Amino acid sequence: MRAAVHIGASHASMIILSITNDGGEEMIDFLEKNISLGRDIFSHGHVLTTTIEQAVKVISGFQEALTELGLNDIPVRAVTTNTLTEASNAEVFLNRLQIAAGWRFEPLDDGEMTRLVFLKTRRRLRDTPSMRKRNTIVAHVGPGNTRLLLFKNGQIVRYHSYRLGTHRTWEQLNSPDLLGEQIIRLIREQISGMIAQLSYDFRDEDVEDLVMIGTEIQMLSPFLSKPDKTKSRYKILEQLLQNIAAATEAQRVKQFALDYQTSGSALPALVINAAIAESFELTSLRVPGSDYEKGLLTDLAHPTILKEELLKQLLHSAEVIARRYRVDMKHARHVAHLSRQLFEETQSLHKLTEHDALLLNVAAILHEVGNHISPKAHELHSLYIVRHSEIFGLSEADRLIVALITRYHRKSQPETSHRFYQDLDSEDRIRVAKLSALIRVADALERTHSQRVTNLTVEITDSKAHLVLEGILDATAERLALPSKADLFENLFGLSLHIKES
Amino acid sequence: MPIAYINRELSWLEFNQRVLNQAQRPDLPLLDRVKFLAISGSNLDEFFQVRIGGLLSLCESVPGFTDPSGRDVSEQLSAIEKRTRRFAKDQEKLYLKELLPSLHQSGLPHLSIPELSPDQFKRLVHTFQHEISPLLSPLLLTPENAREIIPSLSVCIALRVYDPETKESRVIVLPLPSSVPRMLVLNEGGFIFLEDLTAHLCGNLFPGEEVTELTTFRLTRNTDIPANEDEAHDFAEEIRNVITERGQSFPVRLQLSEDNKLTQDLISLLKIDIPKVFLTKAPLALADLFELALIDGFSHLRTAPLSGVDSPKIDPSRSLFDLISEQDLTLIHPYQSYRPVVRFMEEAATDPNVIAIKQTLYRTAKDSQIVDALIRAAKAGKQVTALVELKARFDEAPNLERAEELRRAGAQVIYGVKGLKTHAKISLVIRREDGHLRRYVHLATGNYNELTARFYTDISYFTARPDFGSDASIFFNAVTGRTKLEHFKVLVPAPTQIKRTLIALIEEETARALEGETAHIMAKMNSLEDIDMIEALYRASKAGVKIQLNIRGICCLKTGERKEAKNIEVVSIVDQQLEHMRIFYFHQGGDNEVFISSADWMSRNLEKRVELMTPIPGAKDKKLLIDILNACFKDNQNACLIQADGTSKPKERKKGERKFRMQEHLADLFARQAAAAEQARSSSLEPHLPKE
Repeated sequence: MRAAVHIGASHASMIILSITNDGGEEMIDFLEKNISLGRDIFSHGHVLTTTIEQAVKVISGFQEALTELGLNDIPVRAVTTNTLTEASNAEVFLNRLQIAAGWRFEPLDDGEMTRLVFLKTRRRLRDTPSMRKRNTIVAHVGPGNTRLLLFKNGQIVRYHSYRLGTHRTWEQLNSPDLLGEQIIRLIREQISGMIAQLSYDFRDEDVEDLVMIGTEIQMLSPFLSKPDKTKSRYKILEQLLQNIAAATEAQRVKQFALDYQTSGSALPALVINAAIAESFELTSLRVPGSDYEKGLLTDLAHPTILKEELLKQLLHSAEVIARRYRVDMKHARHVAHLSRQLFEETQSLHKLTEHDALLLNVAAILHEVGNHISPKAHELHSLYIVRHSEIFGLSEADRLIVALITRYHRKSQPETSHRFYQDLDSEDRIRVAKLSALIRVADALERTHSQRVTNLTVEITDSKAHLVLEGILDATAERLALPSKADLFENLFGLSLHIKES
Repeated sequence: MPIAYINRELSWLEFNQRVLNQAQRPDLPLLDRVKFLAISGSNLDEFFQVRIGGLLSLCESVPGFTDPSGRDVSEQLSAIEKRTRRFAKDQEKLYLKELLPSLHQSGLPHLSIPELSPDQFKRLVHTFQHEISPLLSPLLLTPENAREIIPSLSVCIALRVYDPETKESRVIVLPLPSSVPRMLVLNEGGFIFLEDLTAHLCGNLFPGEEVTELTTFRLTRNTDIPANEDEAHDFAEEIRNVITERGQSFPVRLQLSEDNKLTQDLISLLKIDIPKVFLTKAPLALADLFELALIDGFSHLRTAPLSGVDSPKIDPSRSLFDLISEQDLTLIHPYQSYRPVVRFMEEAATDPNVIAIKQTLYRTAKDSQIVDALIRAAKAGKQVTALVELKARFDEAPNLERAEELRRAGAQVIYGVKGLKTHAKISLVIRREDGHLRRYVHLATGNYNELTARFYTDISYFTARPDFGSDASIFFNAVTGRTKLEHFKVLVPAPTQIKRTLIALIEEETARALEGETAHIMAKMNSLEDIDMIEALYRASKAGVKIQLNIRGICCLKTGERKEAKNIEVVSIVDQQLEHMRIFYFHQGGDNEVFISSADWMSRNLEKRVELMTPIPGAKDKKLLIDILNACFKDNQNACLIQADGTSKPKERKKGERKFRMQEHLADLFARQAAAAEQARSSSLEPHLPKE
């Protein structure tokens, strides 16, 4: 048995799952309470004390529910919405929760949120073969950000995230008393910049289907599609928007099955989705059933579910970007391959994690994107291209690490005076340095761009590290390239680096 | 446009008339008739306490309020006064002209003091001196205290006492003690009323003074006092305040047995309006006639109480959990015994695999075995959660007491939900079985009250279906404030969903009727008052849906030949058992959707209470409930048709139609089933084998 707890922008929820005899999983309990986190963050910039105490009370209730079932000891994954990171007192809030509940709450980072959206979409694609064949855009309109994922043949080909969210928009309007067309117009004005941006980002894409997901839109799904169906139409969405905009808060709660936490944010949710549909000139839409939160929690309870698949999609997304900048893909993939081998062979030296190996892999694929601007100082171009590219499945923090690895794959070594590098904490600086050291060596071994070196091992002695290149009889080219690239490795690990033909 | 609704108060009074009609039936056993008269009296008391008080309060809080039948409050009050006066006259006439002579003939004469033999009188004087007199508390009535000190619903004796020394008179009130029987039964047969004996002997309480005038009266006070839930720091304390306040709330009715100078003084001291004064020659507090109806012996004068039979599905030698895990279990009380419900809780309390028990309690029996089982379970360390509804009118005090007992035993007690009464009847038992959690749920239409389960018709539904278990958990997590009353898979909760779901189901039948399909709705409930529900039914009727309603009490839907109503038949059944089941049937193009529920189709149930509506999934269970509904509309012995003016007319047997009485039919049906099962069991013996 396991449980997951999520403190979202409007609701806090918990799911308790049990393994069935056939190895499947069934939901034992699902609990959900309203909470005004999103409202606080976007209207006050911090979480109000009353909300903190409300959250503590809700979490205590969840714990009581576990106690009643004799399940105090089961693993619990506890997360909060990533919009919490925008609250000035996020740390205080998390600390208060941890002390009260004894659970360590982590804000869901972008990468994890994207994984969850991906899992949800993937199930939808699996269940709907017609969708798999079409170019489908999945719009997840969250409280603070909107994520757009473009799927072609079931694969993610584009991914973008925008600072455009239901609560962010609603709280910034500060005109909750307006009704009807007036409020719709105001929201449209508010979001027009971001909508223009996303239209521009996807200008070359031929989108055929839009899947709308998010708390509010899925609460409204009974009004958008027939029971057990997902199909809807732009006209229905537009009409629902008009009806909800015309209704007072109390009417929204009574007639549209919303609650007071979502009665306001439902409007931007509808307007943003409508605007996205308009951008792609779509008349036919899809909205999955109303169990958004349950699905999210079930996936949350399994931090590793579909890791392989997700990894594939992430690397695929990186390759899509690399291709866009006309990277020599054979070279890029090979540097990635050699980096991976080096990473594994030198594990005892760097002691980095599997996640770091993934970042190295992505960096290897993207290290030469800067060439597209100019081969000269292309590592600097790579840095800003990667920083500004959305890589599906990577958080902003991860993307910066990847960008910095590409920045240091050649030429100068990391220095604390360097922009972006200096912003990292010391742990991340070391990670960047170690991973850069590995990519530099891998790149040296692929200097010829001919994928000559296919397999290597590393032999480590007291003061030396020998790269044993399998099947290479004459490693002169690599040996020539190595000195300019081995410097960082040697400095970091205190070993001189040598090449050995096998 | 003509008004399309019947006033709810007048409709209720018509229901009470149907109860009184039973008392008027010469074909019924005499003590059954006395019982029905007592019920009609008890009902009317509650009506005055709650409804009149409520209307008078409404008059002040919402001036100009008009009900859906188009009457403002004063028009309603005046119509009610007219109707209740006629009703009280009917009660009086029935008692004096029919029941009293019949009682006399049957060896149960109502005696007056002069009719007693010297020996009888002597014994009664002894009783008075030792058992009654010590309990009497004379109250001096003054213009300042008169409205506050007289207890509600007590039969009181008012005396004018003259003091020859001071030459002053005082008005004294003697409330009759509630712990003494109202009817003092004589060994030789017959009875005398407590007030007659007290009136005769109370002069002794005032030595040296003279009782110059004497009369009996009874005051009814408003009890419609809402608890202040928002500001209450301690809700239990707030409920105690409500109970105290109720004792001093404004009077809504004064019943007098005579009209004389003393009663006129009482009226002026109590500052009570003449429309609230009722003069009657029948005994005051007719509800006390229950004592007579249940008098020891004389069983030939009443219908034998129904003793519930065992369900053929229940094997007494097997655990109920094993049984429910194999199949759902539906019981129809009181035809089928309530014992399994008690057993369910008792087994749960002692079963080592049970980890948690959750239960709603609205009106429990005195010394409830169910509460005892919960206390045992809590003491045994199980997680027991009990939602004790402190706002259950008139049961606040016992509920507070039991809640406290449960709390002391270690149970988690919740005093209901803020702003809503929790009326849902549900219990949930969570067991650990082979490392998994398994939930067993009991859902019902009636209270967890083994006493009322003997004469209220209700449904129990036991299931171990995972969806029901998961919904039951949501329900209890919602009422304990841990989650929202949402995300239910099968159960339908109020105030969030029931009304919406029912209207959608009615509209679905309407749509089918419009497309020429067969469309049929049958519903059995206590009351139908919610305007949105009635409107949906009118639309359905207009579209051609066949609608059959079995409504025991209030029916604000106006029947008749109008298009909106011509396809609606409303039948009310008043019989030996109190009709209390709620069953809703929707034809659904032949898919037959059937629900049981704790909720009536009243706005208070659908919008102001936490209720549950339970879909019944099993084909056999569905069929049983549909058969019960059909039997309601087949009854031609105790059923009345509700007419367009809200009055009722006994349903007549059509030519060639056999006599059919629904309650008798069900009693026979379940008795036959039980007998057959018993016979099967006794003919297939199962030996106890030595353990190998």
